[in-house]
Amino acid sequence: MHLAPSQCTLTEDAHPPFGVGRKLSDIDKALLWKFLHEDAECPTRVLLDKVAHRQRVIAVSVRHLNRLRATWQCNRPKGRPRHAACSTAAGGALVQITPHLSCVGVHLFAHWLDQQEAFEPVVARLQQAIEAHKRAYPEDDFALLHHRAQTLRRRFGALFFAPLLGIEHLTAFDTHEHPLQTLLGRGYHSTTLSQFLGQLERLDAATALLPALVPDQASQITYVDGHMIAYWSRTSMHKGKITMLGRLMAGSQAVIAHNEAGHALFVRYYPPDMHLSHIIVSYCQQVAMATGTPLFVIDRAVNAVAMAWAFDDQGLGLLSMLDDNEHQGLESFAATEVGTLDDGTKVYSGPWKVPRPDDPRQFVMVEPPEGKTLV
Amino acid sequence: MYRERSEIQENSFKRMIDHGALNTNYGRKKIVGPDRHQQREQEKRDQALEAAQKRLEKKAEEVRAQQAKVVESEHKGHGKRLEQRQRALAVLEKESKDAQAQHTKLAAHASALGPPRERADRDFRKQTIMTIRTLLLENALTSFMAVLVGTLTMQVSLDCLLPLLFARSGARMETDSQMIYWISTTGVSAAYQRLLTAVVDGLCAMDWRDQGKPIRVRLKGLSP
Repeated sequence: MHLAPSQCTLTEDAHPPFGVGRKLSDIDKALLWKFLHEDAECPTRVLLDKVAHRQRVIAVSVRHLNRLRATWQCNRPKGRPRHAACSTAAGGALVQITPHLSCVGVHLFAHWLDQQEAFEPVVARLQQAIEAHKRAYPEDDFALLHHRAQTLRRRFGALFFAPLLGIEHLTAFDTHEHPLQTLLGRGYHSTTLSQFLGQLERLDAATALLPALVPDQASQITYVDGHMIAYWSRTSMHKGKITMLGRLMAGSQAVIAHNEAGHALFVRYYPPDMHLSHIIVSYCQQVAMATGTPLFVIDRAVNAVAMAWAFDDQGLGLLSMLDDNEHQGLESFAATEVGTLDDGTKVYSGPWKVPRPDDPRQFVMVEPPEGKTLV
Repeated sequence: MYRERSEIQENSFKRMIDHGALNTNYGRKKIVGPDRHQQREQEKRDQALEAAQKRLEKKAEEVRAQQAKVVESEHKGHGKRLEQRQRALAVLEKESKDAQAQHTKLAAHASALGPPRERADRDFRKQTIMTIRTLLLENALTSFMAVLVGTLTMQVSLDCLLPLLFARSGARMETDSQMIYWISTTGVSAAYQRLLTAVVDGLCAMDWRDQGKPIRVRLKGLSP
């Protein structure tokens, strides 16, 4: 990115009159003029440092010098100096060279994403959410409502690539070196991205972005599992089975759905004190509505007969695993061998050996060559 | 089908914690609401108190019935039966007294929780947005890996590729006809250099473009 050219071309001979001022002597002004002549786009703070290196003390503020520069028409554009890569056309062939580029793989990945137009659905959904918000709250006015598609893409891109750049918390954008400038063409401070995230929150962007996770091709099976994250707070909060240093912790419980190809499809957060069995039916209904897949594979947290009935009542299918204490291996079932897997594992199927009228579940038993039977 | 769950979900969570900031908390807002821990405890204690009340009433009824039997035996002049009924009455009176004590204890227990309290829940809106970000990133990385692995003859995992390719520095040159990336190989072992060479060949084979210009990838500082 190029800087706007300086407003004047400085020549040492054509200096302005250096009158003695109340705060700056003519020598000080001449020295400042010399430094500005050497580097017209030098930030004023750096200019002061250069003067200090010459063992001269100029007791004026940056603002004062900025006014002086404005008078001399040697002021530079607002903001931090842009680290523009060398971009001189050399013989018409070389357009731009960046001699040191960190996280090369992330740049390549970003090109690939551009080629796949991976951000287009996200930006389109954000724009829809913005329009919906404008209609619902016409008196609201904040920056996100006026962002162009390019700005939305860049800012979401900054959040998107942050983990690959080793940035977990947004504040690390201020404290860690990152290649956003070369990656997105624009560097961001944490305050900008925090405001962006806060404004996305106002839009309820999560609801708008969730459908962007669902792939075009429908899958056959959806896998569901929960993930707990601990949270530190002085406020009295609901706690769950998140233990850390022997304590029960407050936190959050993310319930995430994947398809059989390993693509994440859906996420919803719940308080940690709510057991998965209390929320799973409504969660799976939402996932089935979003993805159109009614068959779920869930871990042992929801393997009760009552849960199977609840899923069946909603027209959903559930595949889970029995607890080890619920059966004594193959002898508990009227098992019939249905096949052998490539690794020699035998697969059986059948109901309970002793009939249980209230348990119509179908069981599949897997017996590896050595080891316990899994049902 | 069930055995794939570990790879699809649990290993995916581990990968997202490693390179997707899945375990990071975003947003500090809290929503204060009724204390569900207290509500659940209160519900449990109320149920116990209700059961104790029923038991107490049942014992009182049994005592009354037994007292009637004792009075009947006294009127009829029973000898041995009166003695048996008096013994049974004493046992029932003791059980009733125990039930009363238990009821008193549970009533005190139930009221000990005090008035309804409040507890906070996190406002999950920011957290959900950032988790969707993480999931989009993981989906994109998975798709990228699937394309890349399709061009390679050797096995390579995402965990291996992240430090080897994504985190590595290099240089970039854009000309009017192409864009060239150099990846620094400083400090890479011979085995990883071979892998990185294969990955770079795979990347070049993917034939991608930026603004119509083909993107080439080269290794920088590779020992001969």
